[in-house]
Amino acid sequence: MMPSTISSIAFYILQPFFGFIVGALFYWVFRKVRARLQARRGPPWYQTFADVTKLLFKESITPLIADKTIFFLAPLLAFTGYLVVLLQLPIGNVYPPFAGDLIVILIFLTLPGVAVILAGSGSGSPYGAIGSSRETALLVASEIPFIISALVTAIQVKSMNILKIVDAQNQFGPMAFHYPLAMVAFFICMLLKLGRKPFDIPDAEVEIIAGPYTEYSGSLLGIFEISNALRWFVVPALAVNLFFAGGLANLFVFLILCLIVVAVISFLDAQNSRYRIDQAFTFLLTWATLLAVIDLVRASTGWVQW
Amino acid sequence: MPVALPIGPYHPALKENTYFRLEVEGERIVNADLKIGYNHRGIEWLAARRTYHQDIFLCERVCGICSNAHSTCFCQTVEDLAHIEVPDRAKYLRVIVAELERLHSHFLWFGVAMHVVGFDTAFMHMWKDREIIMRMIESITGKRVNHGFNTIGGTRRDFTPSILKSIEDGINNIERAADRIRNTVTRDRLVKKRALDIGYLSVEDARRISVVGPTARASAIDVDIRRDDPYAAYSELDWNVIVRDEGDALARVVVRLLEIYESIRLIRQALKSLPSGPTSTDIGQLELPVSEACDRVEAPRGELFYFMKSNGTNIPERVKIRTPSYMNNAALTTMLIGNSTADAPLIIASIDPCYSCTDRVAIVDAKNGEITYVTMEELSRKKAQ
Repeated sequence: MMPSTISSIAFYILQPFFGFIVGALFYWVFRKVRARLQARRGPPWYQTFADVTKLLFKESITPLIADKTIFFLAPLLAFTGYLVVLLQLPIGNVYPPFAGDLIVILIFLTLPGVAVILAGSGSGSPYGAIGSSRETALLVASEIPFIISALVTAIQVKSMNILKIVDAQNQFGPMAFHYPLAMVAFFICMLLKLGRKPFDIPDAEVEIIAGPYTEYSGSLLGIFEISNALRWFVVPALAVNLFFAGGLANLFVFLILCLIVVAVISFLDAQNSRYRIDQAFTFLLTWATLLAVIDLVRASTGWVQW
Repeated sequence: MPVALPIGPYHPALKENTYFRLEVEGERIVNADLKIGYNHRGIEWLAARRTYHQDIFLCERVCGICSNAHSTCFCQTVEDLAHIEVPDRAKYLRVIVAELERLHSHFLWFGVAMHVVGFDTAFMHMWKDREIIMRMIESITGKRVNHGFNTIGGTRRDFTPSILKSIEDGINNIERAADRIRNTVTRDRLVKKRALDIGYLSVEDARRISVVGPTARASAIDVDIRRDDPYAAYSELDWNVIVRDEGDALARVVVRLLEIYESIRLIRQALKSLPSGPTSTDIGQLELPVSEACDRVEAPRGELFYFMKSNGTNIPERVKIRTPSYMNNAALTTMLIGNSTADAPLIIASIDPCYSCTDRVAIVDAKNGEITYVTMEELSRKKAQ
């Protein structure tokens, strides 16, 4: 079924707003769950919207020693990365007009990481520089288990098309059931992609203040906040698409599954302390990679399947 | 080429203002420098201008966390000067409040340490548990922070039977909270991983820098003023001095953890053998000879030292305070070198630093960076001009 031009235009206009609003609410759910686990009250539901609105109306100050171009472009780059992924993802029964390719999604999910590296090194602050170097190390370490665990699903379906991956799961069950180890590895990398504990090392506030974001203020920080809201939708949505059969082609089930993913992440975040960068590096390249590789071998050779 | 990484004067990891200049190569710290002096309040100067009774409350405000230790030490010094004998009951009451203060200080420290390694959930719960102790202190002394509990010759308040009962219940709650801390610290793999083998301070370095308190006891120096120079009722109670010989941040964590249990033991014993009688001697008009005295107490952070010189009036000639953090901060530069920047906040936190009590006047010439220290004599001469 080819979607008509009007419906695809509507999709491209509505999807970013939908992603932002749902992502902001997911982010609030995360903060609320974490706060309750920490015996705090937590923010009201509109906190993210209030933050973004306030920041967008404020003046953005660029440090004198910052590289102006990089400093300005980095938040936009992060935003672009999540936006492109968002427009490729099927959400329940809403399919994108242009069928998303898994490789494109994975590559564009790296873009915000690159943007953070640029933001930190371009801001001219020592905290930013150290934050950037930490983000670089984490990006290098996390891409391997992240991509391998995502590719397990593609290898099983023998297609890179995310729509086909979702459809195939509707026939023979979710990947989480067939490849639990890859799913665990994917969840570990998801914590990192969302900048949560134990992997919130690039902006560990007690060590390097806000890391790469230290010098950002006003509307530029607002754009980072918007992309943060987007990532709280994109990353759980990708997980649901790849491992939980895309919510059985039902928007409501899809969002519920996303919420469960968010709740699990909140729980993991509240139960962990922060890794040191070398410990995180070792952990990602040994345990997370090992889990992903075991399922990669199972998917490509057809061993021990159920 | 090393890059200078500033920590402070305002930084999320620091409770108070201070400035660390870390020279880093990548993540490794190759050199460290500490600059204090952002919180100078001239307490010693003020103390030499107020009466002894006013000074009790002034000295209590040296530190917001070990406030009772300061007033105890001040009162004991004056009692030494005036040869005042403190009633037995007051001695026991002083022990109970001092140990409650040590408990709340250690709980606070555990919370900060957990926050520094990024375990915010533990941080929030530990501070919630600390509230039990704060409420107990409030019910005993009437205030949460600056208690105003001690006076020259004893204490200003007595325990009522209902307060005694509430302390006994509260102590049980604290013990359960301490068990929770022990579980977090000893069972959480990540916390252990972060604290192990960082911020090492050898016995030799510890002796050279003369660190005090839990920092010294974690570096195999067996020192505790409560045992070595007993004051209040400590000589009559049975307890242990916790000493570890690892010398790293984890050892300092363990020393404080075990000290919590010792404090609970001390409070229970003191409550059981609390003698009856008055809580303070009537000293009437305070008559002090021209003399000098010094006294020490074990504050939560280590040895606290007061020196006092009287001149026959109701105002002390000189009050000199040496706070534990003054000694411990000096060890930080040694501890930091060779570690990673990610560990720096935990190492700094591991000595439980406290800056406002440490700050002394130093005048820095901005043009050539020359530092001059101003003596009391020069200051008064300047004032006279």
